[in-house]
Amino acid sequence: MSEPIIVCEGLSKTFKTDAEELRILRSVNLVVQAGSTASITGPSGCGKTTLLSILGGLDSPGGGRVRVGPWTLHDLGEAGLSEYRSSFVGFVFQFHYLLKDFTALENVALPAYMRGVSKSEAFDRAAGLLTDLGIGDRKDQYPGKLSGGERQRAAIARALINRPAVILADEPTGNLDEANARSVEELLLGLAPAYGTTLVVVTHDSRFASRTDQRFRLSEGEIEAS
Amino acid sequence: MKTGPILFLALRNILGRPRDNRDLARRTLRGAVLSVAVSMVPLVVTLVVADGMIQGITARYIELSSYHIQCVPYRGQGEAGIREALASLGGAAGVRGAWAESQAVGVAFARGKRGGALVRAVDPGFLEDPGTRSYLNVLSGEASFAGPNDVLLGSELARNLGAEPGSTVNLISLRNLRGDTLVPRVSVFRVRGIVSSGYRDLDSRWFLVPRETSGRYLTSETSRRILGVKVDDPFKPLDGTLESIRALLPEGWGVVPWPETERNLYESFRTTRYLLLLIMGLTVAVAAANISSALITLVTERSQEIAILKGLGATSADIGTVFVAGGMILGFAGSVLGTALGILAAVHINELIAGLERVLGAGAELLRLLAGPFLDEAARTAALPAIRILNPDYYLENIPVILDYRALGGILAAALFLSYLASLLPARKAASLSPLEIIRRR
Repeated sequence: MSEPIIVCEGLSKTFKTDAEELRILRSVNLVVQAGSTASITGPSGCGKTTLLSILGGLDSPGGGRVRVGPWTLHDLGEAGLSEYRSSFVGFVFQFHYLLKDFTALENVALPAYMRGVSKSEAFDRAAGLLTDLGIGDRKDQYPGKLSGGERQRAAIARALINRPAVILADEPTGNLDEANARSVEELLLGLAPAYGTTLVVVTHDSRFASRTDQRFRLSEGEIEAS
Repeated sequence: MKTGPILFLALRNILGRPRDNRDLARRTLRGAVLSVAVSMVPLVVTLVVADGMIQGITARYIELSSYHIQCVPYRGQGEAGIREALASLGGAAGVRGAWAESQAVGVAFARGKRGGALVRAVDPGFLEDPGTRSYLNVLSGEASFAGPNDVLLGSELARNLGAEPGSTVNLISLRNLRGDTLVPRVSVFRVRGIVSSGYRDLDSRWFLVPRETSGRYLTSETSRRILGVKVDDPFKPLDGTLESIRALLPEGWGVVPWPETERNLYESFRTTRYLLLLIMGLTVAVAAANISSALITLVTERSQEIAILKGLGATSADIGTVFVAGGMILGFAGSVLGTALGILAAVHINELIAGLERVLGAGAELLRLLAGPFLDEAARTAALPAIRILNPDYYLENIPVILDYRALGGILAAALFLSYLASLLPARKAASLSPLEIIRRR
């Protein structure tokens, strides 16, 4: 049995609006094993994306404890969270969120280049990843010229460029047609053995979820193992 | 983040994709660059033209009136002392020529008219010096002495006295007769030539006589004696030449460079120049504000991309630096473009002025043509006087073009600093965006 890489204990998150206080996450307890694939499902608005944002260091936990690898996210300031995002996790969103003024190659290379890898090495690494993911011949295209599936593959390559320990994917197939969705699904599920990463995917796709090693269901702000 | 990715992001941020001209924010940025460039043109032209005019006016004064360097005796010097000091300057480094001069005030009169005179008893060599010849306008007669009683009159003084070449003028000067007793002496001179320095204050007083025979009416007690020195380039630092002259002169002489003898004039020019540059600099500051508003537009349009960069690990400081770098690149591009255009305009300022004179002349002709039916025959046919923006008789026929690279560098640095200040606000706005904007924007 491998070591746990993600541990949430009593994680809560509340959003305040003018009219009311929304308690999105009540008390989330979650353990994901290193090198495994895990899925989080649940009805719309149940807090899946909020949970993933906290695990990805995009948002701060409201209460409880969150540890991802050696990083205790509830203790990290802005600089620490930036370092965590650039070095330990990779994000894949439902919408590709590639930078439209950069080619696919530049988009993929950017996180490594920003992190201090030399430009030539970052671009070599990015070209290799794009080839591995089957779009090496499209590397010089801008996102506007890529198909939905190609954009999502480029986004996955970008998430992998800094060799993260954890890939967090938020509805990665939600915006794709069936064929591309299955292709991206295969790709993501193959990441753990191929790159030694842990995959946590938020999805509405029960078939995709059923193929992961660990399955969690988020309901009313709490996790239920399914 | 290192400098490489900062510049990579900053450049792509402001330039966008190649051949993509649809982007409003990028068009606004290009407009900001152009506004900086346009605001820099008058600033650079003002600098170059002001320096040229100051140098031109100063050169005229120091070539004709105050010399480049004056050697002044601390106490009265006899003719032998003057000659000894003058001879000692022969080997001074960078010296083009040196002449003795005696100066005194007197009253000139002729045909019942009179005027105050600054009597300058000069060596003939001073009049033959190329610097003197290039600035001294000989309006009539000759600019040389043929006899001991010849005088060259300044044009205004000659006009006041009704004098012309060949006519006679008298000078009342003071002589020290016995002890402290000063008595007037009247000397008679023949006008050899009428000259102009181009400046009314000099032309209204000049009474130039040969120094060799001036001892008869200018004694050492009633006149000021100096050695006037001209160097190869008076606008280069004079320290070396001053040192050399001080070392060569006998005891009892002071050495004064032209910025000190013409301190009032020089300071007045410098102050005017700084004020002009400050006023022109305000337009650059306004143009730099365009960079700020263009970058704010970019931040607003690109907030999701900024959030994505943060999501990829860029810190707030990284994002802020990217925008500051972008603002400075824009400012640098605008400043360099504006400086180049400004230098181009300034180098051709004389042609531009000549062209403007021609345009104004043509405009005057056109106006007369349009007003023809209302004018009489004489007004319709008379030759119009040429329009001259710079009167060659009194001022500068051509503005010397002086490129002060240090000042130009200073202007560029100031423009860059203004661009830096202008980019701070958008940089702060960009840096404050949360990575959660990725999700919120959707």
